[in-house]
Amino acid sequence: MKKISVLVMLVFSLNTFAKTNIKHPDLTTAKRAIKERQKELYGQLQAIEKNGSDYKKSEAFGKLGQFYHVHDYLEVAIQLYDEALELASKNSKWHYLKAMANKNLGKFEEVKVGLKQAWKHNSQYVPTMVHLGEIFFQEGNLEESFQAYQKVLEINPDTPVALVGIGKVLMQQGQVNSAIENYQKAIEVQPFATKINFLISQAYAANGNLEEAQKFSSRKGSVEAQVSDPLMTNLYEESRSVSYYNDKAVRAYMAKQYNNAEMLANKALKYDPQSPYPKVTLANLYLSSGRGDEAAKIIQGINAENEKDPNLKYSLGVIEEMLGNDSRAVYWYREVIKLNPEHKRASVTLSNAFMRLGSYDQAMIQLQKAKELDIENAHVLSRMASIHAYKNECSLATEKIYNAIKLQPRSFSFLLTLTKIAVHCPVEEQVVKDALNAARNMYQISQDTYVVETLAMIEAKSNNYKEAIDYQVQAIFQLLSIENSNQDSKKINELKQNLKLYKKNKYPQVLFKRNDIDMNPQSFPKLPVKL
Amino acid sequence: MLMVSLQLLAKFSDELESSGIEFKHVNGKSGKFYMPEIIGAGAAFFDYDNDGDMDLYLVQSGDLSGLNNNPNIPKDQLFRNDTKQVDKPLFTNVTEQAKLKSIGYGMGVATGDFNNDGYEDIFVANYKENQIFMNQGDGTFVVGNKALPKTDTNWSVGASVADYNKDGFLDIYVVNYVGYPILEHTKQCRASDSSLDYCAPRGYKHQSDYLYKNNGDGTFSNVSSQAGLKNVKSAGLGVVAADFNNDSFLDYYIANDGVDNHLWLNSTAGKFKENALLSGVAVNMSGEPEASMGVDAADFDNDGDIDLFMTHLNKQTNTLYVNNGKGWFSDLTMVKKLGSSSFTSTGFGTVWFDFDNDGLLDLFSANGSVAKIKSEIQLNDPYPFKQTNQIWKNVGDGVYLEISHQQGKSFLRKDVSRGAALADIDNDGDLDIVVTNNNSVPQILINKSKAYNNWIGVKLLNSKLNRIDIGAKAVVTSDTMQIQKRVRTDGSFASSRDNRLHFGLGQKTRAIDVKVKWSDGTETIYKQLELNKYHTLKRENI
Repeated sequence: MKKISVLVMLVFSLNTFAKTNIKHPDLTTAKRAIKERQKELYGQLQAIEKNGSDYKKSEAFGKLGQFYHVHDYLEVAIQLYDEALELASKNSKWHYLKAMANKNLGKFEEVKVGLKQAWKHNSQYVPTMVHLGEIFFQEGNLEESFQAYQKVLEINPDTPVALVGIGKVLMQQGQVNSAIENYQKAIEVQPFATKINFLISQAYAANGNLEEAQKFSSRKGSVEAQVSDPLMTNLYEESRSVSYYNDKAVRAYMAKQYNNAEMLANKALKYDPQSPYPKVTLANLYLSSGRGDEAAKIIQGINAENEKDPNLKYSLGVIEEMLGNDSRAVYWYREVIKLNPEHKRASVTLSNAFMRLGSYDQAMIQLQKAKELDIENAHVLSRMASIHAYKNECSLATEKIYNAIKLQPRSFSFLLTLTKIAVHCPVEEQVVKDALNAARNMYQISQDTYVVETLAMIEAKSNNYKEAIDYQVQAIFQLLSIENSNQDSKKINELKQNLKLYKKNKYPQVLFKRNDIDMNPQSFPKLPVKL
Repeated sequence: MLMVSLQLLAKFSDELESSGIEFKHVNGKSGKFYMPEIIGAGAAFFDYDNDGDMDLYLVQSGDLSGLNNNPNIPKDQLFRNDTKQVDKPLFTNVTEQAKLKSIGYGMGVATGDFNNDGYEDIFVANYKENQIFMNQGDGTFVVGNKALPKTDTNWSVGASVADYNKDGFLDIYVVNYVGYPILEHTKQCRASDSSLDYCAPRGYKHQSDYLYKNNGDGTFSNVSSQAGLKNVKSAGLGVVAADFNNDSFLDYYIANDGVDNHLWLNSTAGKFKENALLSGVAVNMSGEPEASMGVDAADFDNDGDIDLFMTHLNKQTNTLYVNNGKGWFSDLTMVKKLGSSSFTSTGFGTVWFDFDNDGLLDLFSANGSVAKIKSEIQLNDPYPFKQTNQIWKNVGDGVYLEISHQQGKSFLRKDVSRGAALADIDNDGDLDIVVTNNNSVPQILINKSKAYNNWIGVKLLNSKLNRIDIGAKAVVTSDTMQIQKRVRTDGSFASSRDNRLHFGLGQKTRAIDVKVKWSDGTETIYKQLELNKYHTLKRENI
């Protein structure tokens, strides 16, 4: 599977934040999804700051605060909530979230102030009083804790978390029976909050009623009385960006769960329909599931909005190649090179497309360019060697393939090409010997049909016809055992033809075909020993 | 007004520099974030030469890759107390002359006279094989090669020395943490900045503890199975022995990391029954198991029973369990004002001690994180686990007030503190603390409170047993309260404390009576003991 990558580089500097007194955390080492969400939110803030309303600005500051809050950069989050509150001091949401950030920092005085403010501006949001009740309780201010929980019960007398809270206060005050009453009410409302059983058990034990205590002592499960807290839920939801879902989509795609990947990528697009990343994920998975046209459509869409991005055009070239449209591929690769003449991969893939179209001279020109861009690239050299061999320029072919092998002595692909050149061309004896050694070495490691077949050829070229026959028979049997296509039966016939030649003490004229030239070097194993 | 008077009452100063103690704990920081590296090691105070002052044993960890006998890895050190002046601790390193040769990656230490020869011996809890050093009485120790079963190689952290079966010989309860073979270390945990970090014990195999019965001949037998401990596995870090249910038998309380704590109640036959849940000490008041690290057990409210105080991970509070006298405990952390002040720290070693001699037990907690702290990472601290230690004053009715911020620089210092060993180092009648710091030098916190309260110290020597009578109790009555204490060396984290009993007596000026209940149940009243000095009270060999 060829990988499509879209690199939309957004120039982004934290130093350009409008509020210079806020020291934004350096997230350079953070996960991509986090960095991107920071960029998104900062972008929104920048856009609104110039001419947005106070409300919108406040929301933008607050959202960025939420982002840092979730990722535990609490001091910065608090600063941003403060900015939000400066613009919208009556927004209980920011008071509440600021209090929650302070809670995580253990700054309980600030928590209390924040929660009281939040309650002042929204006295219906139950979690505010629940947290206030907890804080007072932790501080040992039982009366105030009791009152906070009472306020919750005034809104909804059946709130289990408040009933439990009051129960705990009563336990600390030694009013065990009243505590049990409250716990019992809570468990009636929330029968699966099994930890309340534990509290009842402890209360009975405190009363010396061990029998009842035993009855309630099972704490199986871990469901606790909880209160729905949409602000905090939303806080985490806020941090989930396009990247959050897209990364999940990519993981699903890598695991070949294409349906799941598609669902997640589409979910990512709901966050930001303009984001190119989930679109690329979709394109990839469409390609993998045989929906190349849809993939091309997606990338074309992105390309239309990013005219200057060579990588998108490169992706389009790859898609066209995979769809078998070599002429279209040539077009896109040329577009890539127009935008970036040093795009080495485009030169190489363009040469591949030319080869498939039979334009070997054009292919060689592109390879030459690629070589100039990266003189040490063994794959380019190997491809050049194949083209030379195809054009019967045998000494050039030999020179290039030896150069490639010098750079990567253990590459199966290069050694196979060397072997084929040795069979195909009238080469020096040493080249044949090297090729024979290489083929034998490869055989020790892999007995894939193409290796066995190549070994047979070079054995024949070395006048070892008996061995050539044995290997050829092996290759034929291997292919017969897995034959499942017309292509395989065609190949078997070809192998049988060569077998006949070996029996007559002859060896075949190797034809360099497009498939040989275009072999993907990455798919071959490496030799453990040098040639 | 209250704040001013508190400032006068509490003042600790780190006297390491002039103390003669040259010791740096080495955790071997391999870069692979092996869990033992972050657990740290403890210290012990004990009078190894019977000269009346407390000597100091500091446990070294070293290098996990070379656990045995690598001569280049630093070893445990023994420092003899040569203090001559009040508030000026002075120690001499006598490790070599004492012939102490520790092996392994050290964690905890416990002391007691294992062979009743009148000299205190040492038990060292290691990451692998533990060690016993028998005091020869001539200033040297020999390794108790055959003292412990060789097959016991769990990761031990701490121990409690006490005579659980009342046979006159001190037994050892060894608390074991988790199964953690270094060679199989593959799990990787990450900090907030994605760098490698230490993992929590979750996911590692829990271990059962060892109960070593003293055979009376210098050897110990592992009786965990017979005692009923063997099948209960956990991740223990702290242990303390006391009679929690007032039935005159010593029980053990185990502080477990992240799972329910254990209360092993001792029945007469030396069999133990785990009863933490129904005793109210398995989990906190919300039913949550906490990451318990250190533990101390004492009668903080002077009502005659043993209460418990535990230190925990940050974002959990420390926990105070108050005993109702019958072995049932209530979590009164909040009402005693110990909740919110511990929320941001990870506590390890902890001791209940009366630093100002007002008769009320105050609290100390040695703190240091086990996971990288984001704010410290942001400050580019290469070892971002450091926190400040804490001290709370008991202001009456068992209510506590944190006064760390009034202590000056010794409590402003951030470090990765682990053990806290208590002793009156300079025998001046106020209690000092040695804090061990992971991968760093210790702190010798000398109490310079100048409280002007009176006190009395007693050493309970049982002539019948020819040793300090661990488990014996003494009761004194001051003007306002009756204070009861028991002889012990355990508690805190991986550390061992001064085995003398120290009573703060406030403004009481007259000589007092001390009632001693020896470990065999007999009682002696010692009349009209002079205040502001240590007394050795002997149980005659009847």
